[in-house]
Amino acid sequence: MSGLRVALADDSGIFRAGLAALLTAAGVHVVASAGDVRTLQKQLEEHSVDVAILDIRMPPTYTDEGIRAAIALRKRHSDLSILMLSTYAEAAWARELIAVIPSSVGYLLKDRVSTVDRLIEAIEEVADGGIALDPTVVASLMRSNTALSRLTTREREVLAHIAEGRSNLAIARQLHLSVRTVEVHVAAVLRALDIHPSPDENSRVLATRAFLKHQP
Amino acid sequence: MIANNGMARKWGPWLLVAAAVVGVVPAPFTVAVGGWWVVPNVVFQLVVYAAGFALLRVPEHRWNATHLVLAGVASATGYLLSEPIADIGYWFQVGFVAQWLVAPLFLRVLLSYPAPGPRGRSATVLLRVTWVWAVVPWLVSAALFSPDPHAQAQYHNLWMTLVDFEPGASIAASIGSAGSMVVGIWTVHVMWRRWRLAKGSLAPRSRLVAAAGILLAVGLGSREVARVLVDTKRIDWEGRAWIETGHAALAIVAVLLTVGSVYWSFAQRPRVVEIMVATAGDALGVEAALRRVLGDPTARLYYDLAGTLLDARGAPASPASARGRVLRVLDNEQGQASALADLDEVVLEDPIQTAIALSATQLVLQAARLAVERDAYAKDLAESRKRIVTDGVTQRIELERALHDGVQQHLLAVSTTLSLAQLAYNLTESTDVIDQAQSQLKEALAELRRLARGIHPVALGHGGLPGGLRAMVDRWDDCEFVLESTEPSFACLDETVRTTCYFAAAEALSNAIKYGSRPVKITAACDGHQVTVTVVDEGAGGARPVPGGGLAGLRDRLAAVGGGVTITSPEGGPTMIVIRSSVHASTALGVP
Repeated sequence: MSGLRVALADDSGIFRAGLAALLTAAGVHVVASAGDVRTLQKQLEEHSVDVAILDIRMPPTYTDEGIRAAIALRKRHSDLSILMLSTYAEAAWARELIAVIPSSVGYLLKDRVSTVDRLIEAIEEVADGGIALDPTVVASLMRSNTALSRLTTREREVLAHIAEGRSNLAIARQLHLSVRTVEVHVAAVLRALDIHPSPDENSRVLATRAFLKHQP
Repeated sequence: MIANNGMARKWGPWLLVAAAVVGVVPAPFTVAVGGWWVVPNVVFQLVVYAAGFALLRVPEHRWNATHLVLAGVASATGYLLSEPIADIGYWFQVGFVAQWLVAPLFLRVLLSYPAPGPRGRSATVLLRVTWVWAVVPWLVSAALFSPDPHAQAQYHNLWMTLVDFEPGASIAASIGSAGSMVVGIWTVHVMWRRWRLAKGSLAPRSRLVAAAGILLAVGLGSREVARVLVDTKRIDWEGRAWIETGHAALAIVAVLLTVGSVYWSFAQRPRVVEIMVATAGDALGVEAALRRVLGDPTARLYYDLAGTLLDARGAPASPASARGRVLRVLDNEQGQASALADLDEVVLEDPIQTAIALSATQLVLQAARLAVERDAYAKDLAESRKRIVTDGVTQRIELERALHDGVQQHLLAVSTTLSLAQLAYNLTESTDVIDQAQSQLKEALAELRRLARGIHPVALGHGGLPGGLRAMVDRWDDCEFVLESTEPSFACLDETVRTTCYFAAAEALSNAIKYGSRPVKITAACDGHQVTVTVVDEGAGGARPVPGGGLAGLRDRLAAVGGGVTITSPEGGPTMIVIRSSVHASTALGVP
């Protein structure tokens, strides 16, 4: 399909094997697979990788090894995209992650393996420099964000999809709208969040970051 | 008569009032009719009644108090009947006999105080002889004497003489007189001995009483000397009356000394408790205080520490009973020996003071020990509570991790596999993938079952403790389960006890398996009151509960339901862990 090269890090062998099989079947090249962070770091030295897919809770402390590893990896390989794949949808983790890795980053629930299209979409989005958050995370961020009350219901829906890492075309398909209408909504959201598109920066990433920053 | 303390408490004061009314009220009339000699007699009575009243308040001294009151009554009877109304028939004889009874009644008090009764053989014999002397000769004399109604006037003050009565009466009276001298000298001897031997805190009181006894004996003797002097015409009647008055005065002083002694001991009592309590249970302090209140500088206290006797300085000691010493065991509130007092025999002179001092010692030691035990227990309890809460938290964390690492990963694998089916190109391929998902799902279910068993095994629910233990043992090779009671006898177990015992056994078993100590034998028994689970392995032994370890947690959880754990694990094995609990979770204070 996309021909992307990915590396996996997850302490659960059976999940890692399953995911590798799934990604391979979906046309993604799994070039590295590790049970812990250190092994992954070694493998990344040897292979050229586009996206690193990491579990958050890994040995030895089973707290947030994945996030810390992601930060270290991004420092070492500035063009490496990061996709966190966790059993837990914690808004706090998402905020922490985006705060230190501002782009080419994603945070999905492992449950998303059930919809392979969505998983691939997210991998492509982060590989493309965007941000992809899990709908559960986005919903929980939405609920707690009072600053979004200025937006209309439709605009909030569009923002949620942006945060999940969808393209305008994908959003239009999802909401049964025309691409043109979606573009109008996106512009309104950007305005509401006081974001002025510039040629250097991905305005959608800015919107997601602004959305995360507006947290109480 | 008034031996019963309850009775004495009830009737004692009334008896005193009645005695005082009978003895004292007629006195002014007697003075008007007879002579001033009545006055010392009445004063003697008043003092005796006052002392009796004071002693009545001490339960142990009721009998002495009764003797004092009766001495007053006897004295009143003597003067009322022998002098003013002696003319009326045989009342004269009654009065004549009664007046001698004062001596043994009062002597009894002097010989015993501050103890409740006479102590020692010489005192007992002297008292008996005094009673015989005070009753027999005078009764015989009175019986043989027949007053002549026509010669009444002569009888006044003449009954003592040897010449004016019938020979029998005179001889008996003479024997009585000689007896007075014997009793008097003997009493002086006994009292003087007492004066000399007095020591310790009791010495002043013992000497006061001894002095009183000597004064009384001297008074008694002086009466007889006066009689002989009158008979031999050396002194006249007036001189004799003075001696009689002197005798009465000596008696009053004697009683006053006794009252002083009574007061002294009363004043001491509250101080005894105060001094003991002020030590606050300090081992050396208690011993010093005991020496002070008993007036016995040789007194020693030994503390019983789990069957070993230690002296006040903490050195092991083995006190033996010796001549002149008394050993008293002080019990704790459970009736077990907690201390031993080694005292000079002299403390038995005042058993009441000794009893109070030892009771106070006992009380102070108990209080001190209870305070120490309570603090230690509270500390243990607080620590155990913390450990149990920490355990609970750890278990939650472990459970979450088990769910996350186990079941969740298995289910995610199933989900991944099913996603693969979506991508499959043909039916055969997708059927293979679904088969794979099916087997992954089986593994997930097995994992879930394993986890649920760890939380609360279903076998424990329907098969009780034996069922649970059997199911547990069945999962391992080289493990054996032996049921020592019938299965229904375990039915009375509380759910809490059942679960606690099960997990304690599981902990012990997993410990044995962890250290490769198989074969393991688990035994369970229940007698309807207590349940016992024993886990014995064939390992190398040396198992010790370490803080935060499984064995330590096991101990806490058992203690929380009022049970306990005994771990026997000598180097070289085997290790035996005995888990015990009452069948009902108890809130009895068990130390973890």
